[in-house]
Amino acid sequence: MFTSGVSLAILGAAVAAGLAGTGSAIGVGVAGEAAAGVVSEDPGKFGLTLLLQALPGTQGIYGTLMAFLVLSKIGVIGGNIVPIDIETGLRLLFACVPIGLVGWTSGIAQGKTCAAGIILIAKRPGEIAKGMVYGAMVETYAVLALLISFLAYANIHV
Amino acid sequence: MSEVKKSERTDFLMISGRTKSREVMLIDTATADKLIEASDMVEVLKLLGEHGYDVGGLAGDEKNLAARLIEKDRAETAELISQAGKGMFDCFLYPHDYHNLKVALKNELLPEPLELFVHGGSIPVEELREAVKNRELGPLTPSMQVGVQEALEAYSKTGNSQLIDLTLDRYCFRDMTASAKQVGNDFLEGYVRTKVDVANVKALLRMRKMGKSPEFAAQVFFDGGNVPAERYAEAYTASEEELPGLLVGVAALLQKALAELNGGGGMSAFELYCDDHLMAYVRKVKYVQYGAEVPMAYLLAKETEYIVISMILAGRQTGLSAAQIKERLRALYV
Repeated sequence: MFTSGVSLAILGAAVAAGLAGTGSAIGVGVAGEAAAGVVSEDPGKFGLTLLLQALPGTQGIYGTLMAFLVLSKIGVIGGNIVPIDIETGLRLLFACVPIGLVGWTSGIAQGKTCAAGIILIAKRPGEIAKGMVYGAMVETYAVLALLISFLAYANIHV
Repeated sequence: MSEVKKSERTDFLMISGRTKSREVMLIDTATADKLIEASDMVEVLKLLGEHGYDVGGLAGDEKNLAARLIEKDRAETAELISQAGKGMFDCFLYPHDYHNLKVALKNELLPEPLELFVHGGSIPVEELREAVKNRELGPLTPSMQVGVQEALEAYSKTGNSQLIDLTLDRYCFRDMTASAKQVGNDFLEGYVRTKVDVANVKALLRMRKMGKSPEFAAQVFFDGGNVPAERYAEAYTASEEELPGLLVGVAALLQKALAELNGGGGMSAFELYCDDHLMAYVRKVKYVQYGAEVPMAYLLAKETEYIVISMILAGRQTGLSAAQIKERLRALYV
């Protein structure tokens, strides 16, 4: 049975997966455009550009992971929905906010950084590691947001 | 003028990727030196081929070699750049259009040998030539139309073909300024202002050196730079020491240009400095990874490269020494 608490928890899952996924989709798209430009001139760089294009995709995975955990906790996955009160629902919703918001913004920012990295390897293919490090610096904040979301989530009992 | 949609930096990702990939093929100073010092034309063509020029079928036929090499490459570059968006880069294409307008008018009015039309403008050469020939100026921009009419009037009144150049150059800068404003890109607007500044400073010092009258010189300055045209006319008769103070917006350029002019290198060193000043502006975006500036800088880098190749090939053909050719070369982008 759906209660208001359950609805709020599902909203939290939607925030986590939806916002972080949107950030990743934009980021991967941005990096992909740069990659397509480079590969159209030098098809041999497909592998190198793909590595960098994939980096902004992780925020979407983190958001999905968080959404999966929340949906599992309230029994939406598995078929036995656990009735929870509004306060518990709100807690789950708020737990999802860090990865949702940071995943969204960092996905876009990382996409731009990776696009710059892709263009860097267009001229200097030997510098791919540096391009990846620049991209990974943005990733740090998505990981920290996931950590906070998870810590908040782990201490909510239903 | 074509429709332009103002855009974000991320709208230029693909074209930035393409042009940055091609930047590795640009000719640098070391390659320019190799071109100058190459033992024969076969080696020159081999080097140019390694840098992306289509040299097929050119070996052994040195007539108009530079023009043929460059025309092909320029058309290819224009095709590449046009993918960035309609109207975005008209600003860089207008000088070719105006060059072609000058050629079309002069071919019609003067008995002198024909100059070459250049491809890569915003209007196809044939269309432009027909428009001028039939005086049906519809395919031209409004500024081009007025420019052609004014150039014809000025020539019919004075018989001075220089006025064709001056009038059309003025309208060219107007079109470039309007196009840059329409695009709304800071780099592009700054480039046009710098180009106008360089043209005005060159004209100012050249006219003074030639002893032209203030009345004649007043027609030679253009609007659209960091200093209005009338300020140059007002400052024309001032002493060299006073000039930077009177033309504050171009004081730094003016001081260095004057130093080159008076430093022993004369007019050629001064003109070289002015051109290098423009390239120094373009180089400011060398490390920008993506955005409208990237294809713009690539296009300008190619145009400078064409000038350098033309100078090297012409220098070799006329038997100039390597040192003489090198001292005439413009700064390259890479």
